[in-house]
Parts: sequence; C-alpha cells; structure tokens
Amino acid sequence: MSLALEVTDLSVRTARHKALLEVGNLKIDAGAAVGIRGPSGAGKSTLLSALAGLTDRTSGTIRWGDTDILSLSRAGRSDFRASTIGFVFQDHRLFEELSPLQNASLSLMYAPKSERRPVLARAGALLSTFGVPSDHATVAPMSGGERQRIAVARALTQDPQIILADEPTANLDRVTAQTLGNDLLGSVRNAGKTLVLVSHDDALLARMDTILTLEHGRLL
Amino acid sequence: MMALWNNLPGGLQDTVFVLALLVPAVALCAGLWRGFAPGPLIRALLWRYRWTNLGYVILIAISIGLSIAIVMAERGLREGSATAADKFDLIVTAPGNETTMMLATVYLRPTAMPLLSGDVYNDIASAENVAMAAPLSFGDSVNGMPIVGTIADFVSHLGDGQIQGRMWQDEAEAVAGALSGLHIGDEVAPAHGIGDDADNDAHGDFHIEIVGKLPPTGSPWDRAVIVPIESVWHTHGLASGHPPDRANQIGPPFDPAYFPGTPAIVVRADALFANYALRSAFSQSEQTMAFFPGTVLARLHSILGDIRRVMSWLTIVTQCLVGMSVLLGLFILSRLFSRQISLLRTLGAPSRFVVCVVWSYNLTLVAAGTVLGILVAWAATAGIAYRVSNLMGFTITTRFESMDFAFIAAFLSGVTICALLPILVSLNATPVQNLND
Ligand SMILES: Nc1ncnc2c1ncn2[C@@H]1O[C@H](COP(=O)(O)OP(=O)(O)OP(=O)(O)O)[C@@H](O)[C@H]1O
Ligand SMILES: [Mg+2]
Repeated sequence: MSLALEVTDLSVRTARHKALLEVGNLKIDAGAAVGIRGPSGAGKSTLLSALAGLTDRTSGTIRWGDTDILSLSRAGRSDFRASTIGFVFQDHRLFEELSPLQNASLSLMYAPKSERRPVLARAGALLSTFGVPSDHATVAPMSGGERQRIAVARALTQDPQIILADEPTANLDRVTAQTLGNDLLGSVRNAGKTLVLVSHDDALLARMDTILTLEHGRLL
Repeated sequence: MMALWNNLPGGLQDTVFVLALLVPAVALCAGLWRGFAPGPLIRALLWRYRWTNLGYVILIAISIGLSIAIVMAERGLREGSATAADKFDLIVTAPGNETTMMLATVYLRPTAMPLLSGDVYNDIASAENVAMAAPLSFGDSVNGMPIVGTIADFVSHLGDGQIQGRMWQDEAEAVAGALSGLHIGDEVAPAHGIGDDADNDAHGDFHIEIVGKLPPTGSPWDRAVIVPIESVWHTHGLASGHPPDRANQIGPPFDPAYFPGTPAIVVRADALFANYALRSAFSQSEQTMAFFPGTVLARLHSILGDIRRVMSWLTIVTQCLVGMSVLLGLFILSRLFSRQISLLRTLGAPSRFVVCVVWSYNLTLVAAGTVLGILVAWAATAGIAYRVSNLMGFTITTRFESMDFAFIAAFLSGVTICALLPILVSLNATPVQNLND
C-alpha cells in the first residue's frame, strides 16, 4: 500500500504575509522516491513541513491519496501524521531524557494496547539494523550521527506509508551516510513507501527516482 | 438515600466527604490516562527538571502547610485552654475581674488577689450540695515553678485519684505536677515569690519532700508543686488554720479564728444541677464572687472566634493567592515544555495524550507539595504547641480534623482542574511556530 501526492496552488506565508513557498503543481507517484535539493533558505524544510500538515497560513491543496490534509481539522491532521507519515527532522528532535529505544518506540505510549508489542519489536530491530548502541539510558550523551539514526528508526517504527526525511545523512561520515541511505532506501523500496527526501548529498540524491530543485520558495 | 447517609458513623461520613471532593481529580486523571502509557515520559521529564520541581514542591508545601497550621494552632489553643479548666467547676473569689481571677487560679498566673476570710470559707464549705471546697494559696516557687497550697481532696480530684506515690501526710511533704521534672524522694527548698523576684533565702532552711506525683492534666498545674495549704501559711509565719491544740492537723475543717485567708476557693457540687444554684448563692454576698471558668473561657474564645473569622477570610485570600501562584507556576512550567509539546504534536500524538503528560506532571508536583504540606502543617503546629505550652503552661493538642483534609482535598481538586487551563493554552501554540523558534 502506498500513497500518491498531488499538490496544487500551495502557498505558505509568514505572519507578515511574506511568501515562504509557492508551488503551483507537484505530482509524486505512489511508491516513488523523490529527492529535493536547493540552497540553504530555499524553503526545503518548509515544503516538507507543509506536506506533513505542520504549517500555518497555508492555502491550496495537498492531496495524499484521497485525503486533502489542508481540509482536515488540526486533530485530523495529527491522526493522519500518526498513522501515515514518518518524519525525520533536520535536527533529530529526540526526547533527551528517554533512552534510544524509548525514543524510537515513542508512539507506543499512545498507540492502542494491541500495537504496543509490535511497535517495540520493530523499534528494537531497526535500532540494531542501524547499529545504534543500545546501552545508553538516555540519548543526551549520544553523538549527532547516532541521534540521526535513532530519528530515522523512529520514523520507520510505525511502518508509515509516507516517509518525509529532512537531510537524514547530514551529520554522518561518508561510510555511515551510505549505510543509512541504503537502509532507508531499502525499507522504503521493499514496502513500496512514498519517500520525499531533502539532501545536499549528491550520492544519495543520485539514487532517487526524481530530483526536484527548490529556489526562493519555488520549484524550478 | 438521605436516611442511609445519616445512619453512617460520623468518621465514615467525613471520609466519604473527603473522598467525594477528590472524585473530580481522580475522574479527570482516569479519563486522561485511558488507553495511554505515558509513564516513562512523565518520569523522565520530572527527573530532567528535578531541581525546578523540588523548589516548586517546597513552595507549595510551605504555603499549604502554614495555612493549615494557623487553623490547627488556633483550634489547639482553644481546646487546650478548655481542657486545662476542666477540673475547676466553680471558683469563688473576692469580687473583681473574672478573667484575672481565672488566669490566677486555673492558669497560675502570679496575681495579687484580695483574701477571703475563714468565715466565708466555712459558709461555702458547709453549704448544701457542696461536695468539696478547696482553698488555694499562692506565692512561693521552686526552680521557677509555682508552689500551690490546697487540700488533699482537690489534688485527688485533679489526678482523678491516680496519684503516683502517695498523698502528703504533713506540711513538709508535697505532690509534684507531671511536668515539674521532680521525682518522688526529691527535696526542694521553697523560694519566696515567683519569677525574677523570687527570694531563695526568705524561708530559712525549710525543705519540702516530694512524696507523690500527679498524672498529666494538660494544665499549668502540671508544672506546679502542690503542698498542704497549712505549709504555705506556716512558711509565711501565719496561723495554721487550726486551734493550738490541733496545730499539726492537715486539711479541713478549718477554724475561722486561725484562718489566715485564701484568695480563691474551688467548689465542686455533688450534682451537676447544683452548680448554678451555688453560683448564684455565692454571688449574692458582697464579699464573694462566683464564676464558671468554662463560661469565662467561652467568652474569651468568642473574642478569639471573632479574630478567627477575620483570619479565616485572610486564609481564604491567602489560599486564593497560593492557588493563583501555583497556576502561574504551572503556566511557566508548561512553557518549559513547549518544545516537547510541539514535538509530540508533530509526531501525531493525540491532544489528549499531550494534555495527559503535562497534566500528570503538574499533578505530581501539586500532590507531592500537598502531602509535604501536611507534614509541614504538623511540624509547624507541634512547634507552636511546644512554644505556647512552655509559655502558657497548658498543653496544646496537635491533631488533624476531617475539615483539614476536606480543605486539602478541595485544594488539590481545584488546582488540578484549573491546571488544565495553562495546558490547553500551551497546546494551542501551533507545532510549527514552536519548531521554528
Ligand atoms: N515561521 C517562519 N517565519 C518567518 N520566516 C520563516 C519561518 N520559517 C521559515 N522561515 C524562513 O523561510 C526560509 C526557508 O526556510 P527553510 O527552513 O525551509 O529553508 P531550507 O531550504 O530548509 O534551508 P536549509 O538548507 O538551511 O535547511 C528561510 O529564509 C527562513 O528564515
Ligand atoms: Mg532545512
């Protein structure tokens, strides 16, 4: 199962009505892997946030499958994210005070009881696949690369149909970056997930089905 | 339903009432936690901000503790002073200020009092329905504790007949109060006067032996040395109360011709109803005045009660201020969480889960502060009771009443429900605004 994306007349503005992002039309096939690149400040993170329904002052339509997330209520968008989207943040966004496993399996705290076991098992399996040391009580002392991998594991734990990843290999050395890229692409392609990935890493971008370039808030 | 309620024992009713006050908080808690397992996250957040949390808990504990302590101490003062006056049914003195006379006799405050003659004493002692008429005599002291002269019957009455050791047999023997620090067999030399003016040498080398000890009565008499009234008269070079041929007699009857006078007589009637008749009988003479210490105390307490009403308004105002600062504190703590809140929302956690995490965090702090506050209240009241007991001589009770727990439960419920407000406000801060901070 995977979802296609169709964006029309998307516009995201600041509180002062300055346009951050203007996307007239964007289509991504179900199960495709799309790379996005562009200079710093171009609006790449803003685009990913918008696709997850995380931005305010947003107009147009963002249709994942049959669902226009902009027409959903705040709670509806939240549910949609929980069930369908895995998000990897540019700055990881982990709970410093929780362990790697607790971070990766965070959703079990609010998932139905029956899903708690599988979530925990998946999180554990992903962390060991990614080679994250499991002997830390909290993630606070862990390195940027280790955090990055925990963040990717967290995004994959719920087995979502869509993965939105913001520079997931930015803090890693070449070898680790390549391994993580392999793991991420592997689990996406195997399960036919739709992937939208922002990166400056040409090697990683080269493995995507399509590459889009964003500049000054517009797709070239 | 009402009948069922009325048939419950009082203690159970109070417990049910206190629990009922907690129901809203418990129901809210159950509703928020249903289906979620936020424990590890809440624990981790509590641990992460432990020092802030500790300071906050202590703040709540002190403010709750002190406001309960004030109520408890006032109640203890009222009950303690009443208990101290329990054994003094009716007091007869020369006319004067009842409060002053009561303070002098029941609470042993040193006071210069006019004397009643032997004839007056005999009239009272021989009146109908009088079971006991105990003359009192004050003035000397031992180690700063008053020596009180009276008759054996009154000592037995004070101790409910439970004297350790034995009653005195002659004027050189004494019964000591429970808190006097004296033991049976101790010998003490009386000093003339009491307090800073006491003169240790005025009575030569006259010594008193402690032969008995009273059980605790909760009154200033616990810190007194009680001797035969003849002993006090004798050491002051006065007549012994008895004719020369019976000069060594201890206790009544007294001979008016040799009676040096007494400032106060404690009267006990043989039946409760007779007390009122005796009071009016002894109040009619120009030489005497009779009063119930309980009535005088009640009058004092009603003044205290007026103060209490003012205080209870103050307490309510302080409580509102405490409640408001608690909420403000929760507001600030919730801001501390804005990153965590926005992250949870970004990941798609339901709003109820986010509210559950922050609310449970708050509840933990407020509940911990409240429990600690009960300890603070107890400790503060015990401290006040100790100081006041030393100062006033009577024992102040330190105990919680169901009203205290009702107050605590209401506070807890009120604050936890109001705590939803700052959380809902934080929740409305949109994820992405906070993410871009
Ligand atoms: N809430 C906001 N209010 C105002 N300006 C914003 C807001 N969020 C983002 N911006 C601006 O929008 C522009 C695009 O930001 P964005 O984070 O999308 O860039 P990016 O392409 O991800 O850059 P980088 O490669 O450095 O991560 C930036 O100039 C940023 O300052
Ligand atoms: Mg970015």
